Amino acid sequence: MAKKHKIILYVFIVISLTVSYLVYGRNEFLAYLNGGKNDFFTFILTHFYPRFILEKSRFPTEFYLLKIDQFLLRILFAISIVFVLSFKSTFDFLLNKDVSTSKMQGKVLHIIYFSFLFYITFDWWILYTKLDEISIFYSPLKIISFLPYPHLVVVKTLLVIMWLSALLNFFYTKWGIKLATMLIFSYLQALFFSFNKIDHGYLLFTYVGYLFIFWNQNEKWNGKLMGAIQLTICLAYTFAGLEKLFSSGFTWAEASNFKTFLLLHPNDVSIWLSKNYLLCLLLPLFAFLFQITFLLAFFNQKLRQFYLIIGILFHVGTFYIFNIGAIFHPWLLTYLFFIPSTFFDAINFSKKSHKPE
Amino acid sequence: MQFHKIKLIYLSIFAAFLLPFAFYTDFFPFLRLGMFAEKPVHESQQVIYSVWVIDSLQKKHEISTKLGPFEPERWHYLVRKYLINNKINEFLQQTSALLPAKSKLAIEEKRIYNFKDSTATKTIAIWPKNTK
Repeated sequence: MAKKHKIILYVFIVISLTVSYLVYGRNEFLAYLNGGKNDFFTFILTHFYPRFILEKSRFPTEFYLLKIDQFLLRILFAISIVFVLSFKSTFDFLLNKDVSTSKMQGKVLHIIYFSFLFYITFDWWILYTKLDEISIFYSPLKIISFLPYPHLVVVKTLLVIMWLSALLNFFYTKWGIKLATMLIFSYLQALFFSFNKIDHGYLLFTYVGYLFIFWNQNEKWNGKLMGAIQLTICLAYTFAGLEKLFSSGFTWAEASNFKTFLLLHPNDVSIWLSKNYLLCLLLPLFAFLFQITFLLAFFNQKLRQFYLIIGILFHVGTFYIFNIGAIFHPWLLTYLFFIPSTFFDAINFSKKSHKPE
Repeated sequence: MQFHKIKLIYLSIFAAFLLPFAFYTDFFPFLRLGMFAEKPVHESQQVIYSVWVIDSLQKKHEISTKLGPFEPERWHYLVRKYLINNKINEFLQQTSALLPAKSKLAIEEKRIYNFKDSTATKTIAIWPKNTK
């Protein structure tokens, strides 16, 4: 499609969506909130936002109106990203990211990644035994809702298979073994998240794991793939920042908001921090700026080290301040994918690496 | 061929981030990011629920030390879900069945008063119902 036509199409979609929402959609939703009947909204809410049906009375109408306004903004934002990506020049710019990789780097990363999988799942044997005792609270995620609650023997067998396949990845970099490991890992996570709360701690580790499946013996390909993995890591932080921006605006970084979060997660550090106005003012501001601008680390080699160091402090700080996550957070493990291949080659006798063209 | 493959990978990456973001919901294993993204401006967002087991000596123990693999935060979400559904007694009954006989249970609600740097805690439900 010609550039001119693309722009016309984009402008048409944005204007028609906005106008139809403001003229028709918003009022319809308002009527629905006030008890009106609308099969379309009922269908969407039942399937995608079942919590709404339960929580309708929890918040005032304005709360949900803001949500639906934001839904439109998010859709427009997503359309804009797709529009930008639809230009060949944008995509080529991203695809040109050719990172130097080496066989030794691949080998070491496989061993570290799948060792870390052991590290974060070694206590799952006990975890799932205990979960089984409170299986009465099991409320499956949509993706596994068609499956019955598994017998503990099945869960433990899957856990053993996952550990064995993770171990195999130390020696063979076959995509099938990695895929099996990642699928079981995802299923076991889904099972745990089916007890009413999703945990984002494994998210980036999982995304990177799925991309890592495509790592093969072709160093040129691996260089491109490494670029994709690095982009994923940067986007995860940027989207975390965007989520704050869209959900709460710039006022998210206000000291009073941060103070409420501190008091909602009471411990010695958070209570102490909540009494220090200057830190309540600066910490959320830095966290917000750090997250939303993390994408710069993808494009700028010099800024990368700065972001990774701040990233370590960010996760360690979150652990001590909110008692959330871990000191050695799974997200931090993914930073290894930013280490240049030359570092890994230093421990390789053959020193064969793929240099970007 | 490889060019198309990497292009597909890049598109999948953007889809994995954009879909949950645009639709404002989680599609496991693709999740909406942003811990604490929402400002807790409403009163009901400034509350922590906790479940306590009361032993025969009337000593209180947080349930996470007695039952299940969940840290207190997960119990908060569980309690909130049952409260919203008006099924808190059902929750207490089910939980008590998982504990040794004659265990008493209490649910506490801790309210945060940010503007005056304080919190207030009160018991909102007990089990069995006729006990104190």
